[in-house]
Amino acid sequence: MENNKTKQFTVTARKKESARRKLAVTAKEKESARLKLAVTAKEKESVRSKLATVAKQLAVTAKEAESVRRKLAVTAKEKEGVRNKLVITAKKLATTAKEAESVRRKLAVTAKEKESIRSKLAMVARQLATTAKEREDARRSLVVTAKNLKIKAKQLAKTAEEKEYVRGKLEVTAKQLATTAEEKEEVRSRLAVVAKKLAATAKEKENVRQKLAVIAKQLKDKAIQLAVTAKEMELANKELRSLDLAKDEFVSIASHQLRTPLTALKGYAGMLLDGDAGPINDKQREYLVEMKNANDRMIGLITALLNVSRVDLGVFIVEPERLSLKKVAEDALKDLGMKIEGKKLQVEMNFENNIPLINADLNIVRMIFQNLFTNAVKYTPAGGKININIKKDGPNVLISVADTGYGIPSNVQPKIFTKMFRADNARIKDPDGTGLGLYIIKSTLEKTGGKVWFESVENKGSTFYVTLPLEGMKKKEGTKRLELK
Amino acid sequence: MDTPRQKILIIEDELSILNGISDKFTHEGFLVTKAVDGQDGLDKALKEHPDFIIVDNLMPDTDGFYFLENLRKDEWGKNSLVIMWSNSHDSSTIARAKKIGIIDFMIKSEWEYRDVVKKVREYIDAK
Repeated sequence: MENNKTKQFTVTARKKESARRKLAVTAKEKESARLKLAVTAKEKESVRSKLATVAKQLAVTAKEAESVRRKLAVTAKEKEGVRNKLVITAKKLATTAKEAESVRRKLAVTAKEKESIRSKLAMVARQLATTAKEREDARRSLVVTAKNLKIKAKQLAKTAEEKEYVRGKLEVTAKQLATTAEEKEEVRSRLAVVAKKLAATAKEKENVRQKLAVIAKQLKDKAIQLAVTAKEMELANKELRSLDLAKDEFVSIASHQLRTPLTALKGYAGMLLDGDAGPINDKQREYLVEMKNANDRMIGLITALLNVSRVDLGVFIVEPERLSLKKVAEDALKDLGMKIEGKKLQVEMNFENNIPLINADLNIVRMIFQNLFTNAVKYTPAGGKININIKKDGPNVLISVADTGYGIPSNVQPKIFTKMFRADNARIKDPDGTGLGLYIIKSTLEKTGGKVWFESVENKGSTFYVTLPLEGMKKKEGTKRLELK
Repeated sequence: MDTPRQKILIIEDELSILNGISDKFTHEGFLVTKAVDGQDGLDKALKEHPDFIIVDNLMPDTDGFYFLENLRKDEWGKNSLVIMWSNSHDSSTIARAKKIGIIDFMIKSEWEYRDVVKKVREYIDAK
């Protein structure tokens, strides 16, 4: 029996031992896990260098685990002591399976406690992990905040620079404002001076304006007076024109009325001289010739006065027509044929062949030739020479009539174209002249684009020049043509 | 056999001239008819059909143009030979007269009677 009991105790002891070993193994495994955790903690420590606190906590936890382990070891020792005691008391306790069960239960409770500790460790580890993440977040947040702060700091620095710059500018502006204020003051002073001057000028202007107003009024009054005068002058001119026309009409009628009886005298004298009323003796013929010549001079004078009237009043007509100057000159010369022959004058006429027909008033041109030729014949002594040249001269036809006559004394040459003037030597040689011919020629030529002038030496001769425009005379309205002798 | 005398009609209001020039033409062998104004001249011209007509311009009542214009309306008168003579001779008068058909315009005071007769003969002979 005893032997059985020993055997049972041995078995129990073995079982206990097995349980203990198992516990030891568990402890080892726990240790291993702890170590792993420690390693993990270290790894975490190595990874999360800044999490030293956690590592310490882990170290503390490890110590606590070590403490637990040690406690467990102590417990194991105690268990061993118990076991020894059990061994010792195995005998005493051989039958106390319940106590063993109690121990087992206690061990189970310990296992639960271990599990609880492990769970707690895991929780602590999770908490640590959470804390690490939170720290990382916080760190990142701090980094972001730091960056933001850095940016803000830069911005602040920039703003500060800008402020400095603005301040500098403000300072400059302030200085400028100060300067401007001085300048303004100066300008204001000048403006004040100018304003005074302007005020003075304005006053002067006002004075001038008032004076101008007075002058304007005077001018207006004068303008009105002038307008009235102009109107009066216009009326006067019209009246004068009307009077001129009436005068010309009177001269025309008078000349016509005067010429009618002179024409009758001329006719009867001619018939008597022709012997129509029977033969006349020489003395009768002499007297009749004198009467007839005086009658012709009267007719000529009336014609000349009529022409002078028309030239002076400007009422003579210019009616241009195509003329051969050569033919008009030859006709005029032909009329003087008897006189030329009577004085045995040598007359030569040179006419350039390239002279075209020109538009001119026949009466005017014929009157010019008649006058120049008549004067040359009249004032050249018997046997003298007359040279007539008609040629082109630029835009004109130049007519020259040169004679070897008595010439015009130099002291009276300036008067030769004046109305009714006659040189003394001409008056002696020909008392019948009117002194109107050259005046009419000059006046007429001046109004038809021509010219007349002369060169003369007393007792040697004279040369009269006349130009007529090649383009011709311009038509001129009027009342009467100039009349030929 | 004597050649027939040329008939000439002279129309002139100034009797001293009319009688003088008429005497000259008579002396020169013309058969002269005298008239003192345009209508008188027209009546005698259309009745007698003279070989030549001398007409003054300015005459009282009916002037030279009255005579000319009416003469040219007649079948005989439209081709008759006419000289107008006058002491008033502005260009418009001459142009107007030539347009009606005169063969010459003479300025009385410029012409000797004998030269007028000579000129008339030339025109008659030229016809």
